[in-house]
Amino acid sequence: MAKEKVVNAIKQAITTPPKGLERTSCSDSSSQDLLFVSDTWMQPPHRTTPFDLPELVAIIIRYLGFRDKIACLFVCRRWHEFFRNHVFGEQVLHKLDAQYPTRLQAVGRYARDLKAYFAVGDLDLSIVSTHCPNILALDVEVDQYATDKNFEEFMECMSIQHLVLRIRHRHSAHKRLASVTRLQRIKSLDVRSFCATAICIQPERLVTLLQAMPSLSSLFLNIQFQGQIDRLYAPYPSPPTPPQQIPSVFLTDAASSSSTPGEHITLPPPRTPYWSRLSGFFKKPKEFAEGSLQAVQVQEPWRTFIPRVFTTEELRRLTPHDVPASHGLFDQPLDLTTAIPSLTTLHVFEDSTLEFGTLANALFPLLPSLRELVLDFGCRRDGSSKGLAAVIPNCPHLQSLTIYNLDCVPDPTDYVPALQVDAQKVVKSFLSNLPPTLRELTLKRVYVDDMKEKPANILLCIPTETRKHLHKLVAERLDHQQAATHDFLVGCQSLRELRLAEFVSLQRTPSSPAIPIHPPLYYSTNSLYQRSDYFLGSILEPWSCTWMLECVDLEGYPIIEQDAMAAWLDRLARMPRLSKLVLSVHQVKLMLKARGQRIPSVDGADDVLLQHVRQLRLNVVSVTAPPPRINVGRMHWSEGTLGESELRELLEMMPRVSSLRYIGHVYPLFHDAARWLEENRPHLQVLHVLQ
Amino acid sequence: MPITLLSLDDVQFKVDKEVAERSILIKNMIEDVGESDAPIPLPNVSSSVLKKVIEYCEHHRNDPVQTQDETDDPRKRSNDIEEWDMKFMMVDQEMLFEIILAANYLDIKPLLDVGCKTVANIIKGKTPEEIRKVFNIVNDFTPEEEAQIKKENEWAEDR
Repeated sequence: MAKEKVVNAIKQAITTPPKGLERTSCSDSSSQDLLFVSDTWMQPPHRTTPFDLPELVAIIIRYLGFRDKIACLFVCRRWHEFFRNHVFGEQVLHKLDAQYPTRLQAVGRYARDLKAYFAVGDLDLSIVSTHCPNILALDVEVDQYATDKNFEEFMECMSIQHLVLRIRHRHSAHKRLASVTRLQRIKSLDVRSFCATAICIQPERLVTLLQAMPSLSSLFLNIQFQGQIDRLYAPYPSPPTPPQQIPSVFLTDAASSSSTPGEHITLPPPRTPYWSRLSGFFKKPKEFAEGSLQAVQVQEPWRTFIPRVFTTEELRRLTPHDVPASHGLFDQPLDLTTAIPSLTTLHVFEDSTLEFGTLANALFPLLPSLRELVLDFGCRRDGSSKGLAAVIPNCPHLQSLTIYNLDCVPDPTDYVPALQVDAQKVVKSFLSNLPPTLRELTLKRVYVDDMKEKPANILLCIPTETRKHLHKLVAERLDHQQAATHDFLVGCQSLRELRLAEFVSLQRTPSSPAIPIHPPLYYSTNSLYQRSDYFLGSILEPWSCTWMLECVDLEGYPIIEQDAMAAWLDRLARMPRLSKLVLSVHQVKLMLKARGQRIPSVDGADDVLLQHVRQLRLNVVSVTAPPPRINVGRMHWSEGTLGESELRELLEMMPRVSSLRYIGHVYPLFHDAARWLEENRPHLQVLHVLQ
Repeated sequence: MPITLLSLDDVQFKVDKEVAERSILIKNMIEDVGESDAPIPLPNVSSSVLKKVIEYCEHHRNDPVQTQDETDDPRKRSNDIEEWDMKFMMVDQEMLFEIILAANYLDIKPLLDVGCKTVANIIKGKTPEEIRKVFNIVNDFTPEEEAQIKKENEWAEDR
């Protein structure tokens, strides 16, 4: 029986083909079924290798040099596909790189990301548009070498989605910006100016610009807005002064010609009009014969062209209003009704001359999807808070808000009490309306001093519900009533990142002459070195967010007292998720000193705390040291470095540290520490990072 | 508490939690499901490969955790491999590829990096023909395509 079973099993195995075998029937009934053996079955099964997974190939490529990457291009078709995008996908053009036209001609079609670190001219634009049609990201500087016409034609023919535009030539800035609207698929735009005199555009043009780019989701503007924006309140601009003569030459589309010799105009060859959003378009091409008339009238809606041929008689009857003598996007009446729903990120810098209030009232109602807003009021001295009231009600989805220099008065002699009182109300009201959707808040140089004896902490203006949901808080150069800061942190239940840096301070000894400032815009005198009360963890109520914190930055915050520092260490010990710590070298020294000291007696718990602090082990993997400063926290340049014993002690406290980072020009380690590190922890990186 | 890992071919491995958690995949599984005696199935890893992976994790159990931004930092891209890791990677090509794939599946970034560095070191300095030979790849370019690629890369010859 057993033998039979084995035989049957073998028979079954033979008659049931494995994967890859298919049974086919022969048309001849007398013949037996035949097995058709497919080719794939004969071959060994394909084993997956790292080269089958693009993400793994990308890692391997990281470790290859240029020559090796070129060699890999020749291996097989599959490798060629993988490697060409990595080798040629990013093209960087330099002024002295005479070879770049040849290179782009050969491999430009693989380029997805192109950076040109020189002022490109018409020829460069022509080369790029000819050889690199697939560019998605472009970083380019334009100067007078690129004419407006060619720049716009270049924009017209590209499919760029991410553009960094560096403008040098201030007179053509608005034309450059208008040309950018030709990019139909643009998603992010970063405009920077770096000429000696700031590039300015009229503020209402910002609205028009945004409306002309309906797919834009992110805008970074590092240019100035200048001028009156009265037009924001007028639906249409006032009629221009009628010209002395009706323009005699117009451009039109030949396809729609119905000209009659003599009476009607002669049509030029078909050509795309220069601007898409026009109610009238005028040009006088040199090639047209003198006396011939061409016309086109381009009307709304956007980007639709309705060619129309005018008779000579009609042309004579045309008023300036029918065919305004203009050439561009920005000459259109301002539209304050068309929303820009795709824009989620807006960064505006260098807003030095704009009366923000009027722009804000016009702009923010058009941005219902805004999630990230950065407003840097630069060196403004007054009035920057005026438009704030328009932000919150119109942007219900705001998640990240950064405000620098709000109503800042850096020079005490510029202090204007009435203005400040007015601004305080606005700022406080603004902060008290911050929505619970907000997750990230950065405030730098924002003052709401109520000019009474007791300084207010503006953080306490933020509603409780909003505090609860904040993930990130950056507070720099604010007033610094510490008890209030502690109260605020008690209410933050979800905070993951905390940066408290550069609190306002004017260090003066009692004997130093008083600085003639108006009442306490700055908290001077001795308030800088008040005890760092809110770190005294065992005394004060714990912060709700302590166990959630992943990144803590105390750059420049003066924790002077040893017991305060020890209490701070105690707080750190209660942060199990902490992985990034920013501390000045001076603070590191104080921390190490505090570990060896006795904590002052606080309700008999000092011994426990002391033991706790001495055994402190933090899970921190990255420590960043900001540049040493002379005027903050009584630090000196000589204190900007760590010795060997200090470094060893630091690493004992934070055994998982894999990188020490430093900002500024002072290497944070003495020679002996650097040598010790090289010998004992060769894999610990000391990295210089940009500020 | 030891964690039990179950390989593709049903072989069980008991390892310390600390060692197992070098794999982000396993770490997340433990966090999501909670600790239990039930073995964690790893259906994409054979026992021979899993054994090697565990050997690596045992050796590097005390290493600091790499942060994402550091691994992407071009300044840290060095082809240097530690001596122990180099010896560890002295395996046949099939096993090397299996280890890389397992490191990718289990999300063990340092092991993945070492594996990819090893492959990069194999490629370095070789001609296309030598690379094909090492990795057993068939040249499927037509002569015209090869000429075209050569032409495309003429500009690079002077570099």
